[in-house]
Parts: sequence; C-alpha cells; structure tokens
Amino acid sequence: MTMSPKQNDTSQSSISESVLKRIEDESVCPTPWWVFFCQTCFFRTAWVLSVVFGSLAVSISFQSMLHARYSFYEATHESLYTFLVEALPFLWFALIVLTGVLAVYNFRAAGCGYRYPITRVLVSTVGLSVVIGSLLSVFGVGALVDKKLGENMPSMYASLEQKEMRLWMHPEDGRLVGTIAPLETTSSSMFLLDNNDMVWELFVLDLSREEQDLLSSGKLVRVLGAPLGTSTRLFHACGVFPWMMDEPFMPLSERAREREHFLERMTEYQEEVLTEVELLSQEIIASHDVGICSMLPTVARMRQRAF
Amino acid sequence: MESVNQESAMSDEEIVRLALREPSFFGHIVDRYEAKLGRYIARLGVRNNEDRQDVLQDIFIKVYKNLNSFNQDLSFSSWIYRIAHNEAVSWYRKQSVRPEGHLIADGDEVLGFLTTELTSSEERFDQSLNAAEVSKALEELDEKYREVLILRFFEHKEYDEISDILRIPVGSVGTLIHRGKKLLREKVNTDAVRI
Repeated sequence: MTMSPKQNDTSQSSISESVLKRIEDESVCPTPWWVFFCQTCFFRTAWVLSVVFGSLAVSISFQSMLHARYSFYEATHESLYTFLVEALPFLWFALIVLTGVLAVYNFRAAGCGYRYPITRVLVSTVGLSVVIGSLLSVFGVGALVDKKLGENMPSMYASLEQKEMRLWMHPEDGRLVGTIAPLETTSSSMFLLDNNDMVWELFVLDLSREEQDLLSSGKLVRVLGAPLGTSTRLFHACGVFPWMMDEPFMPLSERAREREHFLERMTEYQEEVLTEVELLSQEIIASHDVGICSMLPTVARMRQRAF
Repeated sequence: MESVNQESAMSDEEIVRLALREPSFFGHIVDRYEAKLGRYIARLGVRNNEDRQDVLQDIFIKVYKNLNSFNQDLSFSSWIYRIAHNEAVSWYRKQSVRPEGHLIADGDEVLGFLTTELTSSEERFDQSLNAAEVSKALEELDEKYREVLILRFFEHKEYDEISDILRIPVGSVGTLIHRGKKLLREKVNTDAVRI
C-alpha cells in the first residue's frame, strides 16, 4: 500500500520523463533547507537593522531639532527660513526615508510580508522607528550618537554642538564663544579665551550686571557684539548668553527664558536707535562708541522685521 | 491500481515530502501540474508548443531545486504557480517581446467573467461579442491587469492565492481585478463601436 516512485508508473508523460531524466543526468539536487532559512533570516535581520537605524536617525533628528538654538536665530541667520534650512537635519530625514524603504523591501521579501499593503508596512515601520527613536531620545542616545559621530568622524560629520560652535565662532560677524580668561579685568573690559585659544579683550560697558556675572562665572558663553578693527582682538560685547549645548536636555521653560532674554536685549538696542538719531543730529556720533550695539546686523534685521 | 488511487488521494505537500527523499516521486508533481501550468504559461504568452515544453521543463527543474523553500503557509498550488509565473515572465523578457497571450478557453469562459455584472441592454449587447474579440482586448491590456484577470477568471484562483502567486497584497488584487475588468469592458465596447 505504499506509493510508487514515478519510474514504475507506465502512464508517465514525456515532460515528467524528461524532467526526471534531467534531474538524474545533471545531478540536480534540492537546495538545502538552511540556505532558504539563512535567506529568510537575512531579510528579517535586515528589517530589524533598518528599524534600528531608522530609530537612531529619528532620535538624532529629534536631538537636532529640539536643541537647535532657535532662540538666537536673528543673530546667526538672515531669517527663520535660512536658519531652518541649516538647522533641520535633512541628512537624518533622508536616512529615515531610506531605512523606511529598506525596511519595507526586507519585510516584503521575507516570508509572506508581501501580503500586506506597502503603505501599511511603511507607516508601521516608520511609526515603530519614531516610537523607539523617541524613547532613545529620552534616554539621551540620540545626543550621544550625534556627539560620538562628530568626535570620531570630524571630516565627515559635525555634531549639533560642533555646528553651533562653527556658527558662533565668527568674530568678524560679531559672534564669539569662550570662557573668561584669568587676566586682570577692569570695570569696562574683561578678557575672553575663545574656542580657538585666542584671548580677546571685551568691552563690557553695554552688558548688564547679570551678563557680566555670567561672563565672570567661568562658564562657556556666547558673546554677541562687534569686533573693533581687524588686526586687533578687541571686541565690543553687546550681549552674553549661556552656551548650554553640553546639556542633553534643556527644559522648554529655560529655552523660553533664553529667547526672552535675547529679545529683551536686542529690543533695548533697537530702541536705542532713536537716541542714535538724536546723537546724529547733534553730530557727535562719530566720536562716540556707545551706539555700536544698536548698529549690529542682528538689531538691524529685527528692526527691519518690526517695520 | 491501488497505487494510482493512493497517489491521487495524497496531498501535494505529502508528495513533496516524499520527493525530497526520493527524486522519482517528483514525477507525480509534474503529472499533476503539467497541463495546468502549460495552459497558464500559454495564456501568459509562451505560445509556441516547443517553447512551452522547454519553459515547462525549466519550471519543474526550478521547482525541484527549490522544494525546500516551499512554505507550508502557502498552498503548494500557489507556490508552483508563482514559479511558473516568474519563469514565463523571464522567458518572454529574454525574447524581448511583449507577451501575447494565447487564451486557451472557450467562448463561454472568456465571456463569462466579463458579463457577470452586466444588466443594462447596452451592456447585454456585449454578450453578443465573440470570444476572439475579448481575447484580443485582453491581450492589449496592461500586463499587471492581464495577469490578475488570467489567474482569476481562467485559472479560477482565489484572491489570496493570486496574492501569493504575484506577491502583491490581497487588496491590490481586488483593485487590479476591478480596474482590469473596467478597462477590458471599455476596450471591448470601443472595438465593437469601431466594427
């Protein structure tokens, strides 16, 4: 009562015969099961990796978007639009899309994944990456990866902090980053050691008491002002703001305060322009350097926007 | 005689298990699917009989080589149709010609699916069209519609089977069938007006 092998069957067709003959002549063997098993494992692993990299990309994107210094955008860019073009992590956005596409491909290639609509697979995969990426952000993984990439691949990748540093280390444009230098200070000047280890003499008459205290605290700070001449390292400081890029989390309230402080200071200089006009009318402006801050490009931009 | 009865009672999956141990059992799979797959690949565009025999052989050899990849989540029929579909497609791509189907079906079969939802007198007019016209219109359809229509109405496959054969979502199968039928009706009607 056992089933007969095909060669004993007299009713076999010519195709059947030729197929069996080819199998025998060419020693055709079924591919071992583990080859297909490995293939499936490969696609499933690739899917998992796509989700993992997608999550990291989401986490770093969050880090870049949430920690970009929107508070000072008038100081660094012509407009919010140009700021966003530079600040938004398009590279990571592209990676999220790429990992999403790869995840869909791998999911559909493994097992019966093709049965599910592409949009559903894409949305659920990217959704999963967003959820995991958000969790990673909360635990500071995005910030850590961003920092490590910047440290280990400086020629190819700039971390958020490095980008911010590049943006603010432009004394010729009125932006400096550094800490107070251990040199003798006076009521009108202090010394700043910038991030390139250059010492600048800062004129601090326009700074508030809080700003002077912040500068004296020895913390890393950003200084907004204007260079006095091109050959000397003299800098007229118009505002001092905390650096705060080394902190993984900055509460929204603190960011709001940072923005408020910046706007407050710039508004003061904006209003000073009226006095400036008065000074001009008295033809004494040429010999007076108190109005430098009201002529900062930042203030000019904000004034232009106000009108 | 007993052996033949037993063979027909055995499922494809059982024969696959036996064929993995003893290649000669694979002949039963070939016998079971030779005619079906022959018709199917002819409908897909492998018209010449000699070519069809060659393609069929290649299909069965490929099936044999990949026996271990057969996923028990699918029906064996869907799995073997998938291989046949892929082989036929790669065959006519190698020939660098647009596939021209050869619809081996009688007039009733061809017209049947097209007229199932027809109610108006104008639509009933379509019923008088002959099978050759419908076949011609079907051949002119875009490949993606033609493939699903062939599987659904000529091979009588269910949506989930078509999904497994063409590796597309079940929802897409429904959409392609719906659109394909609509396009086919339009083509047939246009041709009828022209005539």
